[in-house]
Amino acid sequence: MDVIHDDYQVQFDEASSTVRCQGSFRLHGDEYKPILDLLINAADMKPATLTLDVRELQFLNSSGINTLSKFILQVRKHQVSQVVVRGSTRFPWQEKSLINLQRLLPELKLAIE
Amino acid sequence: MSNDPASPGPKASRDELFAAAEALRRRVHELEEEKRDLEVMLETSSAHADHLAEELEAERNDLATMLEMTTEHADTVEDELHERAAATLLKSARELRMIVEATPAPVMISRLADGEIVYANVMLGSLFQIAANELVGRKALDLYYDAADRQPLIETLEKEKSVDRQEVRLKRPDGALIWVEISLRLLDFNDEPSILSALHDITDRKAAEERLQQQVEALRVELEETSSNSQLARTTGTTRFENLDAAAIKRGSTQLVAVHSFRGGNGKSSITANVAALLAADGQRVGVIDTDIQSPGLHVMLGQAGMDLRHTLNDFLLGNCGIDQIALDVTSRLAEPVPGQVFLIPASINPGTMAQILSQGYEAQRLAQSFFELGELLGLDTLLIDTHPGLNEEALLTMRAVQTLLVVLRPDSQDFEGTGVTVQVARQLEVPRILLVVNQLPQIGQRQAVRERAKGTFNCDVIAVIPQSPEFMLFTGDGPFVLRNLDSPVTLALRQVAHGITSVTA
Repeated sequence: MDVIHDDYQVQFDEASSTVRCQGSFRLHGDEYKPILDLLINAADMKPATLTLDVRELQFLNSSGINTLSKFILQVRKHQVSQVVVRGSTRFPWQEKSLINLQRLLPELKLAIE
Repeated sequence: MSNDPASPGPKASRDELFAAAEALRRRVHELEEEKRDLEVMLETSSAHADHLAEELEAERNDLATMLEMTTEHADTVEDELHERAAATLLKSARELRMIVEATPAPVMISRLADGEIVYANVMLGSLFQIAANELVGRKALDLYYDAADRQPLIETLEKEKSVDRQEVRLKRPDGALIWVEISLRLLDFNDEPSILSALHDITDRKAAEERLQQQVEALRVELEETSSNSQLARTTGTTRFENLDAAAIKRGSTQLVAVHSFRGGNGKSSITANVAALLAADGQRVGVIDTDIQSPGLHVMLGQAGMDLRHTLNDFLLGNCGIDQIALDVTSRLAEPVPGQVFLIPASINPGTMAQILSQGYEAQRLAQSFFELGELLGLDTLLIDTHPGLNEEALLTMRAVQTLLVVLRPDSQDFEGTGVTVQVARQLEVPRILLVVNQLPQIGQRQAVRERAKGTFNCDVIAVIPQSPEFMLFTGDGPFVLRNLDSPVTLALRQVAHGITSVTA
């Protein structure tokens, strides 16, 4: 189920209900489908708390933020899970862009380290 | 007449009238129920439509939010990348400056469009004997001794994208001539297409070459006069040598190969001894003559260290013995049996004899005579002549006598420069074939690059690039290294040398 590539990796840890994203997301359009499928699958498992850990995600392009938005909308649809997004100040885009996910899901918790 | 029970005819009875009234009441009731159903349906549809509209509105809002988020994210990433690119550019420019400042070679950067110098390092200032910043702002063209020399370089640069080690004349502000080797590359400097020029001052070398050329010319005249007076250099016994006319040697006669290097200590004698062993292993009769009478050493490589050398080349040159007395058959000293034979003609290591020949001198023509006579006397296929390093009279005389000159060099700048002089002199002396052997290559991965550089620099065939090998350099076993280390990379390279030498007669 994990998406492993030379430049990026996405892994879902069921035990902790955590999706970890690493590397650089520089894909286009349909190339994001495997990642989106993994994220939707995690949302459909409806855990009480669902964590999205992007602390090691160095780069995310526009299609990438779009993919994360679709994931948040799927979680919101179920109205079951509390979403926690963990980011890092090491990559400036995270501080500026991740907070916008709360516009889709105001209850989303953001933890920038 | 109507059939409708609710519309009795004019002659309807009372019962009929009641029945008609009842039917009308039922109809009214049905209509009222239908009306209520329609009203409920209308309400349901409206509610559903409202719900759909709300959902669509919510989706529209989500999409609008996502669009805004995506746009904002794109702006953020774009800014970040732009800042990073600008920082990288700045860093690159700083690093380029640091590298160029630290480079012990004169370097400048000029704009491609108008040739204006936009950067000059301190070494360039030293070359032109003015402060580096005074060169900035001048036109590169003004640095050329002959302005016409620049355009062909620029044309080559634009076509080939690089220019390497081209010799060109520049001039100092006071008009003094400077010879340089110049290498050019295209690069963007301060966002403008520019030319990076790296220079190497070869003014002294050019002057030395000119002096050497004059000496060579004088020697050539002297040799030509000697040759015309005596056929000694051309004919001995039944073997005819026509090397002075730069023609190939006649079939079946000895091939004379001089092994030379511009500097000492680069493995020339080791290569000579080992190649002799390889040729003998191929069945050849090989002679090896040590003409390095100032610092002989070839005998050690062929198992004669500490032996009593009764007659040497020195004795022959001084007229103290005949040519038939100085050759030693050392085949049995090769430690491994070979089908061919190796004869050593050693130089003396007796201090008195060495001093005598160095102080008295000898008839130079006698040296060349020894090559021809030995070849004939011993029926040699190949005579390898180990020369004294550098360009002394013996070396020049030897070059005039041989068909093949094997130049050994190490892959460093001093040897490259010296070899350039050697090759130039050899060409002036009309040596029929000049071959290069690069020895002591530190990194085997650079073999092809070094081979191409040597071939490109000297326009000669590079027949082997021998890797650096402590085992080879420090070999102290019996006999030549190549016969004891058949699979060593050094042995393989030396086989290429042997093959390169013999291929001319194949």
